[in-house]
Amino acid sequence: MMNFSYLLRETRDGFRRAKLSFLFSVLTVMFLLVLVGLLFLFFHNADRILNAMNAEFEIQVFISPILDDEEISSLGNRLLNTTGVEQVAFYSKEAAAQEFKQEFGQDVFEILEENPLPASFNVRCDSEKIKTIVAQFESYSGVDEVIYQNEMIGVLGRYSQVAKKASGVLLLFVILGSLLVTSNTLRLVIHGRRQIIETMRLVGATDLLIRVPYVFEGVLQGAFGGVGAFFLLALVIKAIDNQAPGLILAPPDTLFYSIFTGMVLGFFAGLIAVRRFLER
Amino acid sequence: MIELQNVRITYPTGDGIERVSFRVGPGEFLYIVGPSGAGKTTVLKAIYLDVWPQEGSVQVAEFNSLFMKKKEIPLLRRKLGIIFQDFRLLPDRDVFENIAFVCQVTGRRQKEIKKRVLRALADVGLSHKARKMPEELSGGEQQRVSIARAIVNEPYVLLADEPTGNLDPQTAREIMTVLNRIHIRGTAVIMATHNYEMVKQYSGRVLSIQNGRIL
Repeated sequence: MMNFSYLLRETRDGFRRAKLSFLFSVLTVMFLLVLVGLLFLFFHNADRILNAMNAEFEIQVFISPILDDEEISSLGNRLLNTTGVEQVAFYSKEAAAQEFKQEFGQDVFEILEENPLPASFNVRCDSEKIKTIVAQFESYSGVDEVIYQNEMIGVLGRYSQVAKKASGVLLLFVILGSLLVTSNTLRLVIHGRRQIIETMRLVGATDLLIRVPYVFEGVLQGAFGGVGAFFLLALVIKAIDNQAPGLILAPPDTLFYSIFTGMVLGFFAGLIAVRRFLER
Repeated sequence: MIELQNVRITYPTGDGIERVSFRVGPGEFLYIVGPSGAGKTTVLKAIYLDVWPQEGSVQVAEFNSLFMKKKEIPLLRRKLGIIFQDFRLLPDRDVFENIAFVCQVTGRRQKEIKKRVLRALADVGLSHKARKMPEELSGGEQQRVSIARAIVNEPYVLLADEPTGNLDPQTAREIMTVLNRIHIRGTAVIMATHNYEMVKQYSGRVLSIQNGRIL
């Protein structure tokens, strides 16, 4: 039968008896979590910026001047119903003339006495499917020309995918490294208490009863480390924000995730660290 | 009842015990006597299954090494009280906590623990030193704390591995008196020692061991 008040007391006493080791473990977890957090923030924001840039890319579909309003509306619907298309906006001849004026400072009517600029649809779509979409648009009747920033969109799409995969792999490695370092730190702490563990075994303590206080201790260290890491990350974000406002945004619940990750890390580190002393 | 039947344990160095068989009944006092390296500690370790017999079997109460699972070892050890030559007290806890710890790991209630610890301390004559740290005690006192720790759960058998080995003759006699008192109350005692002269002064069955074999 497990005595929980004993477990809590052992965890508390473990902290009291080895304050410095406890502090050292908390600091280790904290710095590792800051590393994990920075990496996560970097890729979270890189992904956000890439997505924002992606969203600004548009395909311009120029319409044949012979189409009447009904045909234009029908073409617009057709474009919108194409797979991968997210948004379609009509850009009239007059709007094109207005933009020309803004861009060149002269009215196109004054130069040519007519408006030769074609009406168009500006289309936003999934950048990964852009080539297929463009090919489809070009086959539609009533479409004169399709223009898009071909290379840039492809490169961005590709890098966005690579960045996502790389972030996953890197995060995994850093978390794995953190787990090893934390468990090793805890192992050193437990090594100092091996006599206690040995005596516990000789007087009939089960492995579970020996293990749980150390796992509790690991979880507690992880939680403290998580809180510390959150505040350090907040300082880093504030410093970056002062230099480049809006560049870095922390996802909501960062505090919760910091503490949770710290506790999970501490839990597994505690399990791994004490296992070696129980295997004998 | 404790029974070893044809137990063989060989360490990688070649040392160990060979075909060791004996039986200890309830309330018996058994001395295992032999020179250093004869295998006395290995016999005791076989009883609390710190080393598993490579051949033969060990029976402690209802547990038999041939049929039990490793996870049952803690349950077997709760039937025993173990005393070591080097006391093995936990240096970061006071006398009371060192003894209470045994009750805590076996899941006893706080109120009962207090009662048991105070009784065990009274049995070894150290009630007045309950809040002392081990380093503040003499060798004899530390061994008495170790005995109190061993008896606090009222074990079936007390295993004592050279309990007087680190003590002067006068203190050794005091420890033997404490052990005999516990024995008289009905606890079986198995004591390993190299001191044959001392054993002769007390009653009990003597088993001689040499080169890992019972003579």
